[in-house]
Amino acid sequence: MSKYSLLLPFILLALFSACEKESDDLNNSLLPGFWAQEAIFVNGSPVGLSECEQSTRLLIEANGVYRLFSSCDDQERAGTWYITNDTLLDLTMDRLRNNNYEPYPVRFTILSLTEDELEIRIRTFVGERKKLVLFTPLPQDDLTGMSPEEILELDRYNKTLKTYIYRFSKNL
Amino acid sequence: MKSNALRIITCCLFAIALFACEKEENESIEELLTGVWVLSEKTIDGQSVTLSDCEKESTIEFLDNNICILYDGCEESTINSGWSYQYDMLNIAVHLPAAYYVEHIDKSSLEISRYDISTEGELTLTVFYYLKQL
Repeated sequence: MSKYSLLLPFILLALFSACEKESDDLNNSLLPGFWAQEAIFVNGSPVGLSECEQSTRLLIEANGVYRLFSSCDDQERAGTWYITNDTLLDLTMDRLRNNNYEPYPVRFTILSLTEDELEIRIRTFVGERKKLVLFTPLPQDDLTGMSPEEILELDRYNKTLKTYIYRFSKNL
Repeated sequence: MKSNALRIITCCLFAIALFACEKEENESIEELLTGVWVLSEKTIDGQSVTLSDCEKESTIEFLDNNICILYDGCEESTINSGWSYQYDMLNIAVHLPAAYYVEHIDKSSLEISRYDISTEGELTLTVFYYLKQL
């Protein structure tokens, strides 16, 4: 067998493997698309979606930018996305601070990401959830007319940790 | 004879292995983009949109230093911005978060599209057609 024959398998291997994309992570290719919010689970229990929560749409594009629309406040919001280790989804999301929304980094665990379904989980405090626009804005606490005991009770509730799961289905 | 043929095949495969993977495509799109483009046509979800005379004077000039100059023919205003072509998407800084997909480009025509979410939560596709200014 000549030395050329010995080289042939290596050349063929180089031919078929060298052209792979530099970052061909499966999740990075599955995430871009148009997603509709389908379900929310709090501490494992499904929550009935309001009409505006059902209207929540996510347009995720390959350049690392996403846009979010919800009829809850008829606003389009935008941010960036990044997947780490195929399991964590980092989104910059709006967070209320001094009556203004500011970009805030939020990390979700990816529970499922297929061609048709995206399911992500975050564990956070109830009060934090209220400030963060986790896909839909929530009404803020109104302390007007509340007794000190009621305010204390609300404060305790806001410091409760809860696990939120968001499920989206692909529309495109 | 057989050995010669094998040598030739090996050389050819080496040549393919060396040159086939070069990423010419992105660079060539960037090169093709350089220049002044005049808006000629626009469609929204496949429906043609009638452009006014002043809209037809709108231009985008892509410079090779990743600066672009957007001219609004109706407002008669110019905006300087940045542009990049990454992840098969054309990003124009002032239009972000929306970005564009280059559907077609050659030396004389450019077709770019962008997605937007309507107030009803539906996805809309707008396609812009440009002709290169000579």
